[in-house]
Amino acid sequence: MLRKLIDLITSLKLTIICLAAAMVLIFAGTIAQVHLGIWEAQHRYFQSLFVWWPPEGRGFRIPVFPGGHLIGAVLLINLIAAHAKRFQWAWRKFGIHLTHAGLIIMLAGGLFTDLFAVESHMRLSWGDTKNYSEDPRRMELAVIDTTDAELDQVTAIPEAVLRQSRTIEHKSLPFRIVMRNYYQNSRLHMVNEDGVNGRPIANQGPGTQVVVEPAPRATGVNDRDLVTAAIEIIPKPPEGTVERSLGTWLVSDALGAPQTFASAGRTWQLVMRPARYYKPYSVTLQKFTHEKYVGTEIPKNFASQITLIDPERAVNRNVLIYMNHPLRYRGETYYQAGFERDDKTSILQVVRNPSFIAPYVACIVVAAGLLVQFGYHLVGFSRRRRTVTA
Amino acid sequence: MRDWGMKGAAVAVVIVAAILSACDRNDQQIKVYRIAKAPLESTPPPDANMPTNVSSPAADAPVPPPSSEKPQIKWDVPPTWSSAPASAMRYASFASEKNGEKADISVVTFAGDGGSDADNVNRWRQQIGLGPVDSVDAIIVPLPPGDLHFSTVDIAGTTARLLAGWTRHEGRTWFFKMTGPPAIVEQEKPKFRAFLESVRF
Repeated sequence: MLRKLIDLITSLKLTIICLAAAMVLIFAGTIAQVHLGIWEAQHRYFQSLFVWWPPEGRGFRIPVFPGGHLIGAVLLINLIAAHAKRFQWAWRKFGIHLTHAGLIIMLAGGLFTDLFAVESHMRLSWGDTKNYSEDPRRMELAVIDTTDAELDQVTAIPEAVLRQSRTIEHKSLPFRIVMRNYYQNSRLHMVNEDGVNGRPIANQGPGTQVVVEPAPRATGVNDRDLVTAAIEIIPKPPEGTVERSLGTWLVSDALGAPQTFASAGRTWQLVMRPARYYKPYSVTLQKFTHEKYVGTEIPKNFASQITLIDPERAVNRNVLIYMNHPLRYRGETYYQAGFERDDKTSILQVVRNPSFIAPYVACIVVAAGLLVQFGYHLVGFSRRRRTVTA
Repeated sequence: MRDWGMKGAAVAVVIVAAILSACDRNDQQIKVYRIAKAPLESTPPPDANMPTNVSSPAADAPVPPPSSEKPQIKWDVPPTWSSAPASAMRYASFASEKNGEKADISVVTFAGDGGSDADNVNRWRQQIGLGPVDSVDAIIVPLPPGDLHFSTVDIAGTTARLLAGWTRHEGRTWFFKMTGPPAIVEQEKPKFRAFLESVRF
């Protein structure tokens, strides 16, 4: 039984099936981008173990095709296991071993990039200083204990948890958060606006004046969902007492100001915002320049002059970030990504990818393996030819 | 030799499968951290319950248009104001801080006429704790001169004051609003007026 399983896992047939499935998946995923947009298509087809039908909802779903993660993982296991099974040390096979090792590094690097790479943005206007970047495509509900005069304690609840949970409890919170409504994309209207039907869901905060209209998922490259949720705050009561709700709040990125309430003798803020990644250093935008070709509106160059201050490492230096000249610092790479508002705001893309070196290493190892293998055969061939000639 | 190969393959499968199954994105989990109070976060608006950016009338498209389609508008920001993060419903945000008090300045735009002046003014009154009035014509002050015609209001509540100016241009309505404690709004009023006068398309 085990032998059969190992034979299956190490078989060339499995490799061919995986490669064929990958081709089908890439084709289907590319076609799906027309309706879903690039981000959602990537998520459903390539960054998942299975492609599900129906694709959304909490009810019954069935997997209809292996997703990118599953195909990649099986291919990786197949390659390593086949190599382990058939491995025989000999100089004449050294090049083949190297080439396979390079392929394994490339596959593993791709998978780890997909799993662990984090892309975010840092949006800075002239003179702004920030020590965090934001993920414009992933929201979080920040529940902030603002009682302390010096420090805020932030409990950041990711969008995925909000979407999948009915009740959220955490040891850092003296209350339960009950999800009353969740809208992946929405539009907000004032309650007394002409032509608006419906009633507010919230009974606390500014949400009492707002009606939420569900909207289809945003599919454009530059569009994003306006995530909105109605949440009820229920303090954890002392033993023997009855729970009492503090009310229901509407939380949405469109409600810019944090909403405040008191619970367990502490002051709390609720804010739905793009997910934040804090850093142990700060970045200040000193100047942003946007050069155009003379007499046209065609961009020639964008550049951000920033000051990087890292107290832990005693770093305080000016850096110029411009196209194809990113800043690499503490495992993160800052690229000049865009600008807005009369050239007064610069947008830097911040990429953390622990396995960014993998493709370079893989290419070098594969190239070395092919050189060794072909070189070995070339030398052997020329020796034989010399012998025959002699 | 073949048995060794089988064992090696089995061990490789187990190790790789274990590593892969342990992989999980940590950004799908609740995180707790302590962070120094940021200037923009530590001081909430004068009234935290004030819906600062839903104060202007909602319209068909609350999300600002993508940058490529953004309306061309320019203004001169007073040097003492700092930019604040824009949100989905805000075109731009600024803040002015003095003596520990903070005024919040927002710019919001909507397609269409942005609702009636009476509805808007009464909603703003409600936000700073005042009741509605039957006629708002008496409190709306036009802001000449210039090519753009602004309507402005100055609404003072007991704990907060609100200045608003709005103009309609090429099928869109632009709302400019300053809210904050009465003292700082009084100090910033000339700058707010100059800000409105600097607006051009």
